Amino acid sequence: MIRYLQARVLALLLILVLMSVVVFSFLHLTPGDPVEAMLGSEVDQETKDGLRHALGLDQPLPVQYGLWMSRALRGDLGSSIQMHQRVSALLAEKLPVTIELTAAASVVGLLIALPAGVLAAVRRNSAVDLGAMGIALAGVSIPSFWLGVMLILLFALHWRIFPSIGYVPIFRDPIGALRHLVLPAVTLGLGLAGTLTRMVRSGVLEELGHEYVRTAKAKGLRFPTVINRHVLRNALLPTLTVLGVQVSVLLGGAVITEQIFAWPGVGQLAVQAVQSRDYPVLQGSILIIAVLATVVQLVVDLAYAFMDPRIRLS
Amino acid sequence: MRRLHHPLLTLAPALLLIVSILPPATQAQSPARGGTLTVGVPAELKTLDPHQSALTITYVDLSPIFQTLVDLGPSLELRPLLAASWKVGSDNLTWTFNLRHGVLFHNGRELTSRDVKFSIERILDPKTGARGRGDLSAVDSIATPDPYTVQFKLKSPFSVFPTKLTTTFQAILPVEAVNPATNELVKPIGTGPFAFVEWKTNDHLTMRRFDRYWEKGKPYLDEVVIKPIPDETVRLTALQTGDVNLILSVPQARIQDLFAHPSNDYVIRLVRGGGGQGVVILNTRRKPFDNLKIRQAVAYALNKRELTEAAFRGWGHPVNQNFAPSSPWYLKVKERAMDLAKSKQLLGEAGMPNGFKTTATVGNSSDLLAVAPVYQAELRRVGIDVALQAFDVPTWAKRIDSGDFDMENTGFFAKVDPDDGYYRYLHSNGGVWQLSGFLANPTLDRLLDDGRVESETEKRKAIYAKVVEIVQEESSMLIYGSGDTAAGWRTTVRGFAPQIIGALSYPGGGVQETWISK
Repeated sequence: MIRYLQARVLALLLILVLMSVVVFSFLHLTPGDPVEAMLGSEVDQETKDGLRHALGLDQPLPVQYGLWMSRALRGDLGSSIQMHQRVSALLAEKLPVTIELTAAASVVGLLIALPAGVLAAVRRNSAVDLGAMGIALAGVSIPSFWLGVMLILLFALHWRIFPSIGYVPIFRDPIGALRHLVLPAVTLGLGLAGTLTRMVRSGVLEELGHEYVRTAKAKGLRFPTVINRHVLRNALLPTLTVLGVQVSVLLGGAVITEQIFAWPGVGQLAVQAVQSRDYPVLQGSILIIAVLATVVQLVVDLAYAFMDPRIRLS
Repeated sequence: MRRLHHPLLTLAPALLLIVSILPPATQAQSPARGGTLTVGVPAELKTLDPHQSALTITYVDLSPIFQTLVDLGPSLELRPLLAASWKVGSDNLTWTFNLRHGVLFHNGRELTSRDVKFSIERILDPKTGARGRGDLSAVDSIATPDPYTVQFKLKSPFSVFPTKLTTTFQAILPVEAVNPATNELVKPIGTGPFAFVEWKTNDHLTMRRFDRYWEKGKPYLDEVVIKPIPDETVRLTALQTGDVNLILSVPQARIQDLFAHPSNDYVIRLVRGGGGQGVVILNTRRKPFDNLKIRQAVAYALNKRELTEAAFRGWGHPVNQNFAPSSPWYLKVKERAMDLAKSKQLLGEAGMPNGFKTTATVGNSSDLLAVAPVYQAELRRVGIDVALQAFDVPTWAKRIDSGDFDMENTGFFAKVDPDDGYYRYLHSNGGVWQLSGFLANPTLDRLLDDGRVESETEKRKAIYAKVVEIVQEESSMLIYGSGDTAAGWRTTVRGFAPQIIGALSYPGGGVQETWISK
């Protein structure tokens, strides 16, 4: 187990270094630089070159990369070129927001997907199945920019149940925070539910065909017990994998939902960093998202061993 | 999603004021004190440094904190702000500004001429990368004979020099706000009605009333909170639900409907000319646009009404110059009507009767992308085949900057003075000559120089009417239309009048005059 963890951490470090090189070179190969983004087209060349020099952007790329890397190794992610704030401080501010949203969306997704998927499998080819699959398809296909706006129009403007936009830190005002969380979490969670419902359904269907289910039934267990105690545990393994991947995606990519609901998360930060070519912010964000994604994968792997005693991590 | 912070829309953010439909009849009620004004804006603030950004949002968000020597009133007249008065010497080069006494920075220290000299010199330092540097290029030296007097010595006569000191990009900072070693702004302190409290990127910017603000008895509000809400539908909804009290950039596509169904809870006001001007640019350094006849053929083939419609979603007016029809600097110059036969004839005379192929370099923002397919379709009617190439905005800006384009389209921000509106694009030393497609015309250079020296309004109008005529004739900078925007606020918000570019603070209608009725 310890050896397994060591190997994973080593792999993670390697991935991070490789990724930083790739991100750095891609960014610098893209035309346009932070100065261009800050000053636009209508400022003369002399002013732009002055700023480039002041920011150290006129140094050779390997030198710029070396400087960044040597600082990063000492735990210093640098400062935003435009915002003049520490990248670490920015990330510390945005990360909890993104994690909160991702966690809430996962809960919404599972709350829908588990019952819907099981019911659809058990009542295969019935109206329930069709309905569940229809909703799953809709969940996957409806773009979040549309769904988010519709939810706001209905629940915030028409029925006035939830606030339209904004983020409230959960420790400052827990009830306000939850009220602000519902619409974005549902927007993200429905998409997730779509994918997960199909996984749960196919997983349960596959397990239902196995002999052990017949045995369990034969020894007189009630059907819900068979499902809960035997089938689900096996059926959920692939679902878990998908959930892990989806959560990693959400951690880095809930940008549209964040934008619609004016949630100040890491996704928005990263996209704006791309647009303004704010290299330190982008590299810091990608690094942290990669670390998180790897941690999620690790948790998924550990959960595998927990759910299926046949799997040993070594 | 409309981007207010489009880099090209940020030029010389003039404090033109809107003279649209008047605000609702205010009851005879004296301003109440207290309350928080929550403002929804379309873009995220990128920096607290008013000098080091060219984004409109910098100006919009930071105007309650930082102030300038001079400001502009509703009819574009110059208004004293930190300078109580100013005059130009008999040499026409020395401008003396007398500072207002008793103006305090948010740290309690009084404003002196040393701060003005420091701030302007910081802008002039190329290392600062200040958006306002180009506007102040005429400044040769700055003297501070006493704590309340600043003297600018110019390199050449410049009759409208004070107009160049009017935007937050020319903000006056206290010397101690900037780290002398790094030139970095360490404390966002100004002289404005509101003092900085907190900025969480992508979330909010909070400011609190500055109790020792120099305009006695103002401001009325306790707090101003600015929230970026990039999605325009959501921004409008936030106003309708009351989650914010005031929004800038009401979605243009919804204005008609909002006027047709007025609400008791909020009002929507049109900001005439707030959208600036739309323009198609032909690069005279590239073939075939080096040929005047080809450029004119393009100009005759364009339908300004269609382009304006696309750019401003129905809230625009075709124009042939860089000012909105509501501006006092909108000059009478005969409009060149669309004429396809004439266009084809010119193509024939230029030896390309069947048209030609070319490429348009388009910035990847929704308002720019909306216009490009329209001129593409229009030019196809005369056989000109335009391939559209879209790039993300910094890439596009770089290409345009380096002159690496055949044709492109962009937007010019609303302007205060014709020197702002024409010099920088059309003068060969203007700084952003590429935005007229490098139009080389010695007469233009001479006229633009004359316009800077001349101080009589009527004579200046005659000069700039000629400039507009030449620009139309030369057909490399094809200004097709001017657009309106709209702002909205809850009916409980009183005393606010939107400014043409949406600066939140300015004397006579900004947040220092705003209060919330109980």
